[in-house]
Amino acid sequence: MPTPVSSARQCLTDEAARALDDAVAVARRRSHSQTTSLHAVSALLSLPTSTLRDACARARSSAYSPRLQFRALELCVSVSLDRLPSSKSKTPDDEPPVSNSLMAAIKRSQANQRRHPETFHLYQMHQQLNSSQSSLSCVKVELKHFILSILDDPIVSRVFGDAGFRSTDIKVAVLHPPPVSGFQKSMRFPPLFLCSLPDTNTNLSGFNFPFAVDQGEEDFKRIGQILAKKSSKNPLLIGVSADSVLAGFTDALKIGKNGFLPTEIEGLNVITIDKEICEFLVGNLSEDMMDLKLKEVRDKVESCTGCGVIVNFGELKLFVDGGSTGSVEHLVSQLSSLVQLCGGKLWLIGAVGSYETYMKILAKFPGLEKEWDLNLLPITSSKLNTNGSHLKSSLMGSFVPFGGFFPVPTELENSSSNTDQSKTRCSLCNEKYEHEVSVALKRGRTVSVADQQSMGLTSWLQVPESDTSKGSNVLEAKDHGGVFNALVAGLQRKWNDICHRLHHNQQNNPQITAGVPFPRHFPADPKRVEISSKDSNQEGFRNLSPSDQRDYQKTQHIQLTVTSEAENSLPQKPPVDFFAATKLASTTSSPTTSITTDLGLGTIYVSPDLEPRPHDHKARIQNFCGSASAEVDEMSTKFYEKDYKALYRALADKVGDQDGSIRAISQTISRCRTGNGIRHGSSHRRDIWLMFSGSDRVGKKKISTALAEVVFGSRESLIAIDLNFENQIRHPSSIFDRQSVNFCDLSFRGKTITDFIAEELSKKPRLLILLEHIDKADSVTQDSLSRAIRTGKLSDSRGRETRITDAIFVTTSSSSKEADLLSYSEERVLNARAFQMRILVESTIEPRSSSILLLPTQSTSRNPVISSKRKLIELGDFEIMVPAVKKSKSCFDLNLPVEETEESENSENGSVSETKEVWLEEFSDQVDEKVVFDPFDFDSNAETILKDIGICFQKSFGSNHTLEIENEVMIQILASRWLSDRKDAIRDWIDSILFTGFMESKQKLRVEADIENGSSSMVKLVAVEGVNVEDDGSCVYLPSRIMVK
Amino acid sequence: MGPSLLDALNVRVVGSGKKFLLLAHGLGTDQSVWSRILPYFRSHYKVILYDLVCAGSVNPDYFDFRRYNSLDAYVDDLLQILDSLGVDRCFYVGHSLSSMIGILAAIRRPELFSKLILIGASPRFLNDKDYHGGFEEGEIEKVFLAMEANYEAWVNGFAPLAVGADVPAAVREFSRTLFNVRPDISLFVSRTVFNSDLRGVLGLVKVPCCIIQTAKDVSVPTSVAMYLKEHLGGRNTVEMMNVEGHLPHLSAPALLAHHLNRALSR
Repeated sequence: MPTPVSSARQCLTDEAARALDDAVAVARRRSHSQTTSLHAVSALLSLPTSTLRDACARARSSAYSPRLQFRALELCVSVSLDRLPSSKSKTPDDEPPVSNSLMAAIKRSQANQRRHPETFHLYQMHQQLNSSQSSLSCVKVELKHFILSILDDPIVSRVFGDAGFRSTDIKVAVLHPPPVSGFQKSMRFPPLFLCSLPDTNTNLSGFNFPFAVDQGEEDFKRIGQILAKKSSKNPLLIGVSADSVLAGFTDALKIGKNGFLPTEIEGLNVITIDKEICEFLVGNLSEDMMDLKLKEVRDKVESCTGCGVIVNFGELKLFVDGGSTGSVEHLVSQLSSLVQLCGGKLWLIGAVGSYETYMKILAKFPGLEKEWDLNLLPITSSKLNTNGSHLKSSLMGSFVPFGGFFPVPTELENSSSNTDQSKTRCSLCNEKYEHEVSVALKRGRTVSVADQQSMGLTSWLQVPESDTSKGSNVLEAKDHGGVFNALVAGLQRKWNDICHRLHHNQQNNPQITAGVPFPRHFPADPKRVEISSKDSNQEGFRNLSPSDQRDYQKTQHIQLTVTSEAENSLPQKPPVDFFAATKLASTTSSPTTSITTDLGLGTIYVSPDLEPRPHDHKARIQNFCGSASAEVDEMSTKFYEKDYKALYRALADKVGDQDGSIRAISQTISRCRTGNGIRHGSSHRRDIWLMFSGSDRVGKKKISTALAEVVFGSRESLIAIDLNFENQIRHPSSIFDRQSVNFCDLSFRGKTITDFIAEELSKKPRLLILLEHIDKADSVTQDSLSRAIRTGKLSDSRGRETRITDAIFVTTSSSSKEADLLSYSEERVLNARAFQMRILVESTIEPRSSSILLLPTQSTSRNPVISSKRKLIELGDFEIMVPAVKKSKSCFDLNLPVEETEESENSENGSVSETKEVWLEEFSDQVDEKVVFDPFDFDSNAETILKDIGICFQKSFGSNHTLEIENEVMIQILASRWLSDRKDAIRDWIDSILFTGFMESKQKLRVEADIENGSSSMVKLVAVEGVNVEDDGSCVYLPSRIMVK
Repeated sequence: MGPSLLDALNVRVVGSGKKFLLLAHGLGTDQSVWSRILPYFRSHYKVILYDLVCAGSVNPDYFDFRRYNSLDAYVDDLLQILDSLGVDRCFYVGHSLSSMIGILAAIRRPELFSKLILIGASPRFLNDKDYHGGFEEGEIEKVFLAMEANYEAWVNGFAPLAVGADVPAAVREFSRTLFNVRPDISLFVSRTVFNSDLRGVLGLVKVPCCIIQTAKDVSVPTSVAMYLKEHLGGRNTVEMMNVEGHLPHLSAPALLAHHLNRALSR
């Protein structure tokens, strides 16, 4: 909303007010609806002895006559004014109100003046005078400052730019009266950027005069530079729009516009022969005519009195596409000789659309680049941008520097931010945050005129799209943009934090928060003002910078104040506040667990606990938990023994395998918890660091899960993170990829590993953090882990520290070497997928080479080819043939060319991995216990499984059929065995589900082909690619029903 | 002579390695965008950071609308920074606009660059006959109109799209830097970028390049990464990042650091 002229005038000194009146008059004369900065400029220029005119005269470029340049400036201003919309509705007598941008300029100059030391005492005097009278405290803007801030307006500086002025120069000239201007100017001159060009200074003054800024200008200059060279002086423009730049360049030369050329080659003549070349190459022009034309060129060069002739041969593409090879060759040689003969005075210029085309030509004429003395010039701008419409007044209207922090719902935002997370603050906190911003703003401006505005600050802040706000915001933007941004960011962070801590659960109840009308104005609260005043001194913002550690404490402090305040103001607020406040009491003590469940970690191993646990045992565990958490210091060694046994039994009960490891782990934990830690003698630190090495990834995880459950009471207390960055690509069907969080997980968006851990720990300090592949950790994670293990504090990337004293860190590395003899390596089983299975019956016996075969012993038709490649296990009525395994190489990254992977081995990669090893050694020296895991015995498990399947198969199909089990299926069953907590879960699955499948398929077989009775056929158990099984609980990652065909 | 270019563009050199690593930010951000990436490299490299002249952290007076109307002026700045720092060879990591600048700089002074790592790079944003740049000309005009009409609303809409709405902190960070840019400069540079077409000159790049492309990028379709790989003149690799967003250094810093590390060590 524009400001009435009268209130704008109040802010100005008489002199400036007169200028404003003139501007208003200009606007009225043109019947414009608002008075803008442009009107002001027009008015200021029209006075014969105006400061602005004077400044312009001093700042103008010396290349043009002053009269001409002022004329150009006036033209530019009037053209810009013509573009403004005129109002029809207003009566001509009305004063057009002051536009937002102009009002912003006035306020900017006010602030500027206030900051200026020479006027400061004046300002204070004013303030004292005014404070007694009214709240109307203001600085009267002097004309000088008024002009300065008008010049800051991009529209204005654009207009001046069009006329060949630099608004910065004019500003300097305005600021400094004539006698000292020379000196001052050099002090304040903007930096020279074109230093890499030899002719910097000539170019700086050579502004494109009078109006349009030619996009090609820069390109032309570059061409000029090449032309001025001694050797390889013939530019070949390369790029999609090279031809249009070439045309523009030659046209400009033809009309004698050559300001962009270095002086020594000014006045270059152009001869364009591209048409002739084109005609000649397609055959419309005879060779003689072409030669004649070239002769003409040569004559012209020889007779040329100026510095020379430039021959435009056009688009080089024609040399590839058009014409017979003979004519092209002829032409090329002709041009080459031309270059040789009249070297000094002749230039060639041409264009080529793409590098590929150029390469084709070079393939034909390898010597071309040298013979023609070419210099490739990349052309990248594709369009001539002549309309200059990129500066409109509407743009300024929207210049709201920190408006983005306000929750203005736009269509785009709504469409893209459907996730809960994007809305970080609940509306309550948001409102408080906005209020604080407004208070802070108010404080920053209590002495400015803005307070005169009839509208309350809070309301304009909350409706940032309204026009008034734009005007007043611009003021702040110019004055303390950085400061306010920092303030707003700080406040925002603060409230996000508060909201996160207090109202975290509220986000889950949008129906409660939505729809409740909030009061827009908060009662004045001295405490709150105090907080923001603390923030609004500049030092405060600096302290809010993320890396500063003190800042964290400070925010903490502020949060506390605010929290108590939230409780105080409880009765004044609508019911939803009550909800929040009650939350406040409960949530501060009990951390939320929503994130941990989101990760799905808790459900990984969930299988119904069928065996009832002995009662006394449970009690003992609880005893342990209690003692572990609270009365640690009082624990005696007697306790330790008891504790260790309880822990060991609880873990062994849950895990089953890895007995030795469990023993070691329970010992370490009991020792650390009772204060006998080897690493840190003091009992203050109770964080425990374990390193699991060896193989059996699943076993490590099982133990970690069990540990989380036993020590911290729930599986949700486990956070598992895979540090191996190579594992980032997951397959939806893969069994093991579902198991842990890694980089690509959504919870990692925008965070580093340590950020994530720190965040989780701050929510819930009693956690078990499982870091898989610690050997693959990046350097930053390494550093912060090292620091954490030394100090007991984990610092995130913002420098905030989180205490880790109640957590257990388990790190795993997989450095062990596997025995080659195994048929089923851990590596292979880790690739298992959870697919649906299907049973097929076929009469042709041609098993896949990777499959396992169960052959009837008495079968005479043993295929030697099959058996030669397989390991044989005799088993009752069957011979089990397990395919021999080829040792698989480590996987290749398909993105990389092969030769590069080899090269990388011996280059820097070596040193990087070396430092990683060194770090790992250091790190593992500091952990409380290193536990080496035994490899999981896949082979004997596979044997057991196959035996069970054999029995099952015999029961259903009898003993004269062959069973083929696909490798994928076998690996899937093995993976399931590995993951399952119960040893006989697989046998149960075979006896029930697989058996049912066999029986069903046998029945179908009877129905369909009774004839086949007696003759042996092959039963196949195959995986159905792409159909994933859901884990239904009966057996991990195995189908609950097998398809039969 | 006023403030030097190094001061004007806030050039910083941090870290203790032997080799130089230059991190160049894209449009709408400033060097602070690398703050999450920096810790990963400061122990192994001397990391050079600077602000493009169009960044919000640079005095807008230095932005000469006449000079910066093509990418070459930015290249001049970059090369001059390297020269005045006495850098004879460096790794160059450029995001978006800076990846274009890096390509052009490597054409002009190939000896300065041992490798270009281009994040969210595109030689041309507009679609063409047999080229899919991701934008139609009409769309671009609409975007420009939207920017002109209400910069604030545009930023509010664009930031979550570019970063990914699921990372509010990163969206805020991007919005902040985007807002710091004066709207007219932002618009002007956007026009410059959209008017640029590097397709013809890609073959002139002989420096090995690594193109890092996220799985979903609103500004750069995946096909562009393949186009770059095919047309850039040196040995090129493409690293696909299995995350979304045009600004992986904000939304997935740890992962990007890994990719950068991998690209740098090859």
